[in-house]
Amino acid sequence: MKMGMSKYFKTKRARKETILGFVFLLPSFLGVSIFVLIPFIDAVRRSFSETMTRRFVGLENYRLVFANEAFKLAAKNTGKFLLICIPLLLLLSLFFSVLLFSIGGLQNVIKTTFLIPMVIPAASIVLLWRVFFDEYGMLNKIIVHFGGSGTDWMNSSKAFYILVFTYIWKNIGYDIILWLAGLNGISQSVYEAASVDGAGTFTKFIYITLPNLMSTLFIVTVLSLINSFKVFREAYLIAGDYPHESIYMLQHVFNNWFTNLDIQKMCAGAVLVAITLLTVIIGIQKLTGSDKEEVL
Amino acid sequence: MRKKKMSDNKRTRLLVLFLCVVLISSLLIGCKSRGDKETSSVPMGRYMEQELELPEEYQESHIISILSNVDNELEVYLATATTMIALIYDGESWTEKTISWINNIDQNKYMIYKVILGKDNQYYLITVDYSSGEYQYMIYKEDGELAQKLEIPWLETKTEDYKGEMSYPNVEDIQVLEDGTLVILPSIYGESVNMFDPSTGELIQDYSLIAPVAVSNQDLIGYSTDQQKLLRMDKSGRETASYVYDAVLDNSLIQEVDGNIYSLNSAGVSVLQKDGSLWQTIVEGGLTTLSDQTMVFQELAVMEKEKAAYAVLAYDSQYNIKLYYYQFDENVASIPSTQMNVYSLYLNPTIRQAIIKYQSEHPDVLINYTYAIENGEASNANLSDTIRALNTELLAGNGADILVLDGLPRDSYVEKGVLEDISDRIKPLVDDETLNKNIMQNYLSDSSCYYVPLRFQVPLAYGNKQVVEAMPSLDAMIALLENKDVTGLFNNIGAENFANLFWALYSKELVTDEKTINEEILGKYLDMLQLLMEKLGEENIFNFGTSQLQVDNAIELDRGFSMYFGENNKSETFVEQLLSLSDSQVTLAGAREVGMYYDTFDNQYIESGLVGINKASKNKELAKEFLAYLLGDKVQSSTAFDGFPVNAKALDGVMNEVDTLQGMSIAIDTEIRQIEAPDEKQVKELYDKIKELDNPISYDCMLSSLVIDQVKDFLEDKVSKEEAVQNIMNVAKGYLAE
Repeated sequence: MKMGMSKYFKTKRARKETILGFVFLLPSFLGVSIFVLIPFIDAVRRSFSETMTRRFVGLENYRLVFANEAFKLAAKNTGKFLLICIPLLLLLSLFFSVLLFSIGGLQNVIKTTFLIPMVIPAASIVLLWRVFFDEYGMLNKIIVHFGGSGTDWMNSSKAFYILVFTYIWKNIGYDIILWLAGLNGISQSVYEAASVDGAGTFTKFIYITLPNLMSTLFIVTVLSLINSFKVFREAYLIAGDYPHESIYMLQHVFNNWFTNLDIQKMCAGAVLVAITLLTVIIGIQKLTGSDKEEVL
Repeated sequence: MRKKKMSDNKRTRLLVLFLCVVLISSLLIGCKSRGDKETSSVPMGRYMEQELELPEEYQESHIISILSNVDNELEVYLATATTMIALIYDGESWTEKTISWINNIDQNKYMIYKVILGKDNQYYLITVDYSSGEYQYMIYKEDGELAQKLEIPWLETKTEDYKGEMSYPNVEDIQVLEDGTLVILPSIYGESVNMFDPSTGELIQDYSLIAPVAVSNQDLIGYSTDQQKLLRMDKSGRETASYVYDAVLDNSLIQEVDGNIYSLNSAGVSVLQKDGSLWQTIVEGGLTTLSDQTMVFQELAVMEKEKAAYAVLAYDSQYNIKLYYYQFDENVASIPSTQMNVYSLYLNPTIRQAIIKYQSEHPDVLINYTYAIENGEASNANLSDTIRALNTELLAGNGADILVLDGLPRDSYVEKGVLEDISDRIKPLVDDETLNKNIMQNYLSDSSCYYVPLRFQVPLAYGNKQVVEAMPSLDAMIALLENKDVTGLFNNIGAENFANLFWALYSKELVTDEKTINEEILGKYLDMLQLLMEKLGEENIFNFGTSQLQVDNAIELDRGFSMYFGENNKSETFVEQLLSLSDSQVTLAGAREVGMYYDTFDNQYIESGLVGINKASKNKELAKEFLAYLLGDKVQSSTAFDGFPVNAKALDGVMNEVDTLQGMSIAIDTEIRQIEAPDEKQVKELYDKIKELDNPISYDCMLSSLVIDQVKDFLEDKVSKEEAVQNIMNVAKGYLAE
């Protein structure tokens, strides 16, 4: 480590450039510190103390969180949502991006079409979903028209799958763009060489495309993970503080704890989620090899 | 060349450094506390309110009118049982004035209801002849010792009214110009002000203006709904000036004195100087009774002397006439030196009235009252957001000094130490029985007390004795409904309302202390609802049920608690939530006339106005003092129609006010039913039941709405009972576990 860092301070010029780099970093570091780091440190402190008196209580808040049925349900639902959504989104977006990459002319039009859901405000999506998925909504009318029986989509276990669909629908365009950027980074000469050696499309995909997309995979996964937490907006606006238990997510429980002034539990829960996410991200980083320092 | 470049670079860096220093310095200056440098000089002088009391011998009289006379003194016109009296108030004492011209009018035949002083310095009055039952209005003018009737043909011509009946025109108010031209305002809502020739009595102009209306020496001033301004119109109907005016029009008055326009509304008394364009507040409404939204202003008198004074005649919420006098006091600070904040989710009428009273008794205190949700309307999302905003303030050690906990997570606030222990103030009041012990014991533990209710409401059932007696017990209700021959059940108010009503009544059994739902009791609850709906038939299921926490400014439970139809029928059962003694009239009339049985639900009551003090308050002593004031006789004795007083003496007083009950008439379909006031014995019986109430209904709106959604599926046969129980358990588990 020491050796690694020392190259940045070895010569006068390197030292100067390093200092300049830090100066450029300073504004965003200040912003992140004020809006993320310091509040997070405060949340960690609060997770070990009482809400108002700030008396130190050790791990009591964590014990309460782990014993809390609402937290367990929310954690289970959030985990299930992530395990289903992230792989599904990665696979679908990769599939479409490879497809788009291989066709020429209409690429831009199709890309834009996929991106449209991203720019639709959450409130409009909620309105749209109400029109579609309400007990007396369009979807039920269509089902009844063809002889089926309607269902209360948002107040049954099907609400979970609607949320999954919403997430995929909204984020697939963004992920396609990221994958396409990765695909564009792979040199055509590698493909040409493989073709000369007699490799087919599938072989090229497995042995050239996928290994070269590993660093993109890390970025896409992390961003998809972060975006998955934004789907709470839709769930909250459609079904409120207490939705059907299948879409009762961690954000619901945190939100309701805040309403009840259970800040200590909220902070302990937030710290647990941060640790879990950090572990997952480091794991993905290791798996995709994105933690290895690029050789200049 | 290189040297020059380096020197330029140096200069640029120095400039950047200098700019940074300037930027940081100005930011730091902006953050500087200004506390130390505040000057000690406090602006002094404010108009102080005084409720004028008439001399002792006239206290039984009824005030008819007030005006400012030619000497700029307040003249008050009173009606006694037989005659009219005028009193003059010079700011310190009262003197009687002879008004033989008024007393020459036959007051057995004509009712005098307004006296005015025209711009021609002549007195006029409005009377109504009610002897023939046709209510004909007449206007008289002072003529020495006599009253001279003004002959106005318009007043004597019958026209078709809004009901299609022929009647004489209405006269709401009159004004007189300098030349004697008469202005009549027929209604405060109608868009018509009429001007009459003083000599012929003929209509000379009809203006499309509404109240408030005033006159100057030669012009008429009134509000135009088209232009949304006050307009000054001359006798020819031409607009000569317009003024911006922003107020609730049907409770505003204006006066023109020497070219200045004075306005009275709940914001206070303000003036628009002659040729000016800005309204200046003279009497600040927020520091006086004028801000009481229940006040109905009748008249404003402006005494423009060396030291100006103002008088306001108004009806309060109980329709008592009040006379307030405003005089400038230069020894009082313009803005009260002490300020305190009160916060509630919904408007609490008791607190609002108390603040006005307290401020008028304590001129050095300003109480800022914030209620977050207007008219009780809020979605669950808005409600949660509002509570979270309050929580953020509380976490930062801020927040109001006094918190009204209706709808707030009060148990969490107690547990987290947000609220101050007020047992030192409450316990002595309970021990000496100043406060109702049965009610207050629910908020006092051995060592602490964090909040207390200001009022309590009384839910009761009336009608069929068998049903009323069975209602408090779930088992008894099931047994009753399983009986094939049962009669005297409820009017079908819809399954959702019944589900809400019985969820509230049995909530203590349904939700255990361990914060779980008792599955067995839940099953019984569903059985009972199913049996009930089968007995009542399928009609009207879920037709008008909504969960509503606040109705008409009073915290009420869901509509299941208001089966208010007014039927006098022993063979049906109704539920009523009494907020005041007058609410009991229908119940007691049913009991008196057809023997309807009534009772409370196992002594359950509904809390209203739960008040606690913020532990982080910087005005704890003042907050405690105000809390004691809220629980004191003065506030508790006044009626705000949000419940019965928790103060024992005030409750005695309310229950002894039988003679104030005047009966009522209620419309049932197309018929009007007249209800006589109850007698003392009946009220005493009701009082005995109310005194016994000692069990607060523990009701969680959010939980009930989550549960009722599932109950609805069960009653509509979408799910079986087992599935419904499971769904409710699942829904409630998450909520209760939080």
